[in-house]
Amino acid sequence: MAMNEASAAIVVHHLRKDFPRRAQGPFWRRRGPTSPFPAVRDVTFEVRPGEIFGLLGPNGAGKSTTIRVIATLLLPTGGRAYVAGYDVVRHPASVRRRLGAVLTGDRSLYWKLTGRENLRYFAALYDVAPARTAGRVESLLGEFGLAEKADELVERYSTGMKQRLAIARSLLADPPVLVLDEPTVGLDPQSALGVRSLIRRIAAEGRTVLITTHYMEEADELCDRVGIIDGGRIVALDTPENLKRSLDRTTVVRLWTTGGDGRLREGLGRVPGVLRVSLREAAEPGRPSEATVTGEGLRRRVAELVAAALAAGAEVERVAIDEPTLEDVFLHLTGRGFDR
Amino acid sequence: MRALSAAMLRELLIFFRYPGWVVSVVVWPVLFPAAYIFLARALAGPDPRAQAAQALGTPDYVGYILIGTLLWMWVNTTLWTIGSALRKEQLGGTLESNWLAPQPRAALLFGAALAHAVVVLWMVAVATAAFTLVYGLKVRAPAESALLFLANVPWVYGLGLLFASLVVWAKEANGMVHAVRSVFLIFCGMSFPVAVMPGWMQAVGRALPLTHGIDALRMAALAGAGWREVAPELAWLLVWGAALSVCGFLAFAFTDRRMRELGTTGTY
Ligand SMILES: Nc1ncnc2c1ncn2[C@@H]1O[C@H](COP(=O)(O)OP(=O)(O)O)[C@@H](O)[C@H]1O
Ligand SMILES: [Mg+2]
Repeated sequence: MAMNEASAAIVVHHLRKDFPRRAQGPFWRRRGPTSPFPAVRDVTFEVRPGEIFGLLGPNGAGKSTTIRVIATLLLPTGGRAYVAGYDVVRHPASVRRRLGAVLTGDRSLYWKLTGRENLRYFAALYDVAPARTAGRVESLLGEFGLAEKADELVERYSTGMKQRLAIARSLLADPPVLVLDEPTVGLDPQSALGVRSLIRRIAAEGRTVLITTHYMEEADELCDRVGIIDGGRIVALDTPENLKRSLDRTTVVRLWTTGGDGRLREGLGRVPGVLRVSLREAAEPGRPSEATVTGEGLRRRVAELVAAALAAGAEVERVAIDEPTLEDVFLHLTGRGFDR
Repeated sequence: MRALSAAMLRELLIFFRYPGWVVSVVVWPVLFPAAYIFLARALAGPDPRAQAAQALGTPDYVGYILIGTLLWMWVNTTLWTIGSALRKEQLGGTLESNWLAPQPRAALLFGAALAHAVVVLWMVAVATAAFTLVYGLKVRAPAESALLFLANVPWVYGLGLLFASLVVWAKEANGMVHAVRSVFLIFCGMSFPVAVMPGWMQAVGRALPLTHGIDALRMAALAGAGWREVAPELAWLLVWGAALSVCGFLAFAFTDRRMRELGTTGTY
């Protein structure tokens, strides 16, 4: 048996999930079985009661697959997962009774029903006692700033309101554990801010929250601990501070350059002390592209870095020496940037 | 139980948000049979009732057609609505939020089926009233007729449940619904006696439950037949009902599991 599945709110132990590869083309041309695709290869982590835990990783890292196994919507190929001590495969009903989940955001609601009707419907599904339903629904509507629009069809809600209603729905049965898959994706900055402060409030009520995100800043700012996931594996797991501190002796130098040729990366990489170079192309032609150089003792090597850039035919627009961010941690661990 | 009634209420609420559907449920059952009734009048010569008595075994050719079309339309709407219920929720994204709840998943689908049954009962009530007023329909054995109508419930909804699962895999309902409803339309004697078809088609028709559902109801409502006379038809309906319900349930259980292996509850 795995770790302390009884005391932790969520335990994921060597989780693996293979999907059969989808055959393409007309059905008469599809070939027989191909090798399965491992969306999650080996994921192990543990969420402590009352904490906000973040699974951070780029698109396709396996975040949603992991969270769907936890939410009993997917059967794992290998490994185990427990919610509040219950095995998600063997006791899915017990898990569902203790778990609130927002996986598809606004799509998880009936758009042809009003906000209030949605909540009342799901309250029945979550066995909220009929006598308590009205009170619970009203208090959630109020708490989530939806009271005014409660009798409008959800199809008329903004994306941010739909997302708040979806979160309210997941809290109907007052579950101790909440999982949210990319809760702020697709929201404007203002609504995203609102959703984040909601999540903080929910955790402050003593609930355990697991979120997935591909926003570094979100993980950094919101989460007590972060598991960085890439290619179906956890590559690092700690508090955001510790993760950044792991790069303590590392400096991050960013250079914004225009022009230049393909030798930029190579040239920067030859400067002593440099561990990694990653390039982000300019968003539009004419704008500078960004080179992030991580390494040890680079504060003393800035001149050499600039010289290397000039030698590659580039013009240097700006140079900055930064504290490492979670993105730098990811970069350092995987050698790749986050594609946004 | 609560989940079931909540799902039913949900479907009814959504149904009434689409005025077009509501109107079509009232109008269509009254208009659709007219096409066949007028054809019958055109072909029957000076005395349609006498001609009908000879050809159909009852002078009441209007009632004959109404019963056939009503049952066929019921099967038709079941295939469309229950058949695409799972797929619709999968596409809309609500399948996952429903299945996340601590409820037996079949209960949620049964709830939708119940809502549909409520709408159908209403449709039957409207149609019967309209037929009585407009076409002069007289039901001779009302209690038996009503019960015989209900004896179709297991096979019709079993078929709907089976369809719901098949549609999830076929990804779209149209092709399958058209195929199956055409078979029922042609082989089951909706608007003509099965006996006028070539032998092999008669054999197919006699095997299908709708044929017996229509026959039994015609015998009771038009000829005033009692239980003894309709017993074989009734037995056939119930056997089909048991078989299709079991198949439907197994298909649903298989689909539920397979979707959780493939991760297709939320994708399309
Ligand atoms: N149902 C599925 N069938 C086949 N492949 C899938 C399915 N769901 C996800 N994948 C694949 O698994 C990988 C991980 O997906 P996902 O867990 O959704 O990543 P993330 O949420 O981190 O973006 C991706 O390459 C994705 O294409
Ligand atoms: Mg995802």
